[in-house]
Amino acid sequence: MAKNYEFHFQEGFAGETVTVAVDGQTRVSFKARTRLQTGLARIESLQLDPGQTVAIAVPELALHQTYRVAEGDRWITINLVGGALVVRPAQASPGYL
Amino acid sequence: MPSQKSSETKRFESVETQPETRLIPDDSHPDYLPGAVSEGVVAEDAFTPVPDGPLLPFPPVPRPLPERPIPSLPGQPVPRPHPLPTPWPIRACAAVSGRYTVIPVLPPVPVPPHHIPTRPLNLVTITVRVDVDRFFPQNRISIEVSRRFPTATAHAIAEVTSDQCLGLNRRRITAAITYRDGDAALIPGDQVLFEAKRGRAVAYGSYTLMLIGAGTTPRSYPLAFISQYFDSVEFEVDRVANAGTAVTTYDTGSHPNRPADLPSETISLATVYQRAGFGVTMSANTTVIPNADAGTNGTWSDGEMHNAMVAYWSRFADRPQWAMWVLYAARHDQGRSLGGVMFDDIGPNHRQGTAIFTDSFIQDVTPGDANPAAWRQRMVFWTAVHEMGHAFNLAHAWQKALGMPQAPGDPWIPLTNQPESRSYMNYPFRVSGGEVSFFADFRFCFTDEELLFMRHAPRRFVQMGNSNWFVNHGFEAPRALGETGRWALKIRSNRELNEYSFLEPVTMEFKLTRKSGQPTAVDEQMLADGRHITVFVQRERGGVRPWRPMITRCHEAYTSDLKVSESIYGAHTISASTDGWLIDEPGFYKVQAVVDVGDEMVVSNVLRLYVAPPVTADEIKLAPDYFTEDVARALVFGGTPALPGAMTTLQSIAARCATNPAALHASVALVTPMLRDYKQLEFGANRSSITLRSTKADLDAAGRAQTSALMDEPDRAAETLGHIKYFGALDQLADAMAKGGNDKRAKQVMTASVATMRKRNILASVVEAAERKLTRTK
Repeated sequence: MAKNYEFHFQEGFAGETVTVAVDGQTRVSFKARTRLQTGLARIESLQLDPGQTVAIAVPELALHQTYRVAEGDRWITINLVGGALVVRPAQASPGYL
Repeated sequence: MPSQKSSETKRFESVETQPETRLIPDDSHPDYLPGAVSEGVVAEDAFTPVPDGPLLPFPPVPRPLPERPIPSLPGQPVPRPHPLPTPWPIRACAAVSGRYTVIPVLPPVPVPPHHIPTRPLNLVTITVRVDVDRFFPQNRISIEVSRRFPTATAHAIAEVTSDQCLGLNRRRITAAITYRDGDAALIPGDQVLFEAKRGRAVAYGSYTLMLIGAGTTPRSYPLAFISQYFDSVEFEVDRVANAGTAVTTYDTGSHPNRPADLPSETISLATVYQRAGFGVTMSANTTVIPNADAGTNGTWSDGEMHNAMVAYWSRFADRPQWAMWVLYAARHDQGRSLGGVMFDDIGPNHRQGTAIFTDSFIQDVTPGDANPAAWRQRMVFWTAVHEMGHAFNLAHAWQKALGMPQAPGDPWIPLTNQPESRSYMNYPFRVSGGEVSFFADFRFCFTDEELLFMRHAPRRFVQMGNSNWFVNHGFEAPRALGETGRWALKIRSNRELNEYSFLEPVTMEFKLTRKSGQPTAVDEQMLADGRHITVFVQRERGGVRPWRPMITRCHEAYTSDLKVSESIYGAHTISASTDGWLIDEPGFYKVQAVVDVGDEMVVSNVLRLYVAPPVTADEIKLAPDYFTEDVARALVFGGTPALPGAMTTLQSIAARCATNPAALHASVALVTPMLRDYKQLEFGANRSSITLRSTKADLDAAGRAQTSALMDEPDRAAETLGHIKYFGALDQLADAMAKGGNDKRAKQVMTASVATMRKRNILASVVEAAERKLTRTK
């Protein structure tokens, strides 16, 4: 049964277009820019089933990363660090200050 | 929007929520360094008395000792009462950290007759911040110089290389300059020497700063102590009705997870920033804001918070100020994941407002925590300090090295990320081991790099709401200069409303009047020659730019005694400067001038003018060709056939924008060269030869054209050209006519000139001069 997963786009985004595709189908596309006061660019919620593959891409930087949806995950953080996309599940809801 | 403070303010009980205040006194606090003590043999000059001061009694030592003059050893608590260091003599120096200002040493101002009070003219303000003791010393001395005329600023930070206590309250600190910003010439040298010496009693009596450097003459400045704080700031805390209590204090001993040696005390927002070096005032205006201001969704957007700040903050202003608004609200639009935000990146002045969200994840206690109530109190308090840190322009600990393009002229010391730092600016849950690890080592302070920035960076980097340093200051600072009462400088436009058409050159008249004192010899041309006067032009909400004249005349000095109430005059077209057009867009502008009269600088009124938007398509089309350096020169020089492109543009303006006053300026510029034989240099091929070509005057055509331009609508022409330029042009026209043998036309021109002068209430002496010329005309 599908449940809600939160994708937190955090540090390193400077207005690039980000696309999020699930099993090859683009679900959402947006421009992401990190707000330095909080370290957050955008939170995107998706209804997903465990086992599905989420592909996150920043085409203009030729960056691409995938995440295979796990049953126990709920929050996934995405950071653009050192010229690479780093996708990690978080143990708790990320907070921003 | 006006502040709603006055009538709608409801005072909520108290933002200081602790049941009792337990704050460790500064000099008993382990993080406080009360001064410097040196051991060993007394230096030879340790007891050299200050000039004119009495010798220190030897013994006994005065009792009681005033104001902690004899500190304990650094890092050691001060016993009560102070034990007297023995054996005598001693080398103990009290704290010197704080803010100083240079005491101006000025030439005496002549006492005017009738004892009119005068103020010495001080063109330079120097602020010195010494940071070697008290809380978290950074071992720096920073120097901030602001020169009012010509306007310039400089900032330097010096790193302490030696700190000696040479005797009882006799301290010498040397430092090497490692950072500069602004005009380096204002802070010559590369070494700084700060000295504090006791006065007639035991406490410090004098402070001196010396700038030293190879190849520069050492400069010494007497200092006055202003405050132990580096700057003063006011915090105003408001809360939304449903936000609960505004947590602004925290008992550092209340939660068991803390450093073992952390002093137990109740600290407040004020305490934290006082220890960071700021003199904090908590505003008495604490307001409960209705929930309804959050909109129908009940949560807060950044825009809604900005509006609330404008409405409820008693100090709100669109300008930089050392003041901040702190809002406690329940929840942001982003939801529970946002615990707080420095929301104020809206409008022209950022970093004035912060918010803490009490119904957010900062209430989510780590499962199994030993004291959930203290955990929450600590997290909300920590968040408030964190968000306020952003308003001081502090970045997150892991963002310090971000390659963000810095604003031109705003470079700060390159920083490295500190992802593990135990600072208010790091996220507790982001470090290795999470928040438990963070608070186990957190000492409720900022890092040295953060303190260095807050205390010593150029103040525009830190001050809330600050933007471009020169905005505002260029106009506000010089006002203090013109207050000796001896002179008055007035800028005026000679028109009822200071309103100009798009493209219309802005001509200002300057009037310098002797207001008091003995008759003084002044250069009669000082307002006209372009050498003595400086004009600043600011487009509102834009930067201030100095006007630089395209013509500077070096003439034989001709002085005359200016008696009380007598004036001299000058006029300049200030739209264009040698480095471009200053007034070339619709909108409001401010103009202010300063004139150097020899013994002082006299500052004028600020004249605010309005430039209307274009009214025809031709005005818009011609604007790119018009607002060029060549056209500016053609207008100022009275026509330049050597710049054919500019002359073509002026022809287009005259023909296609006839109703615009700019057409009149264009006509005058086009016709003026035709009033006399005009010489022009022409280069041969490959610039191998130069030919001087002369174009014969066309007095008939030029006379008709100029007469039409100047005399068809004399009031309109006088208004847009300005009286000095207008009557000067008529004078020139009459001369040309007379020289060409057309005395009749010359007389007509002078007759019209005198009539217009009388109608426009021109100075009697000027009218009389014109009448004499008319009489001489055959």
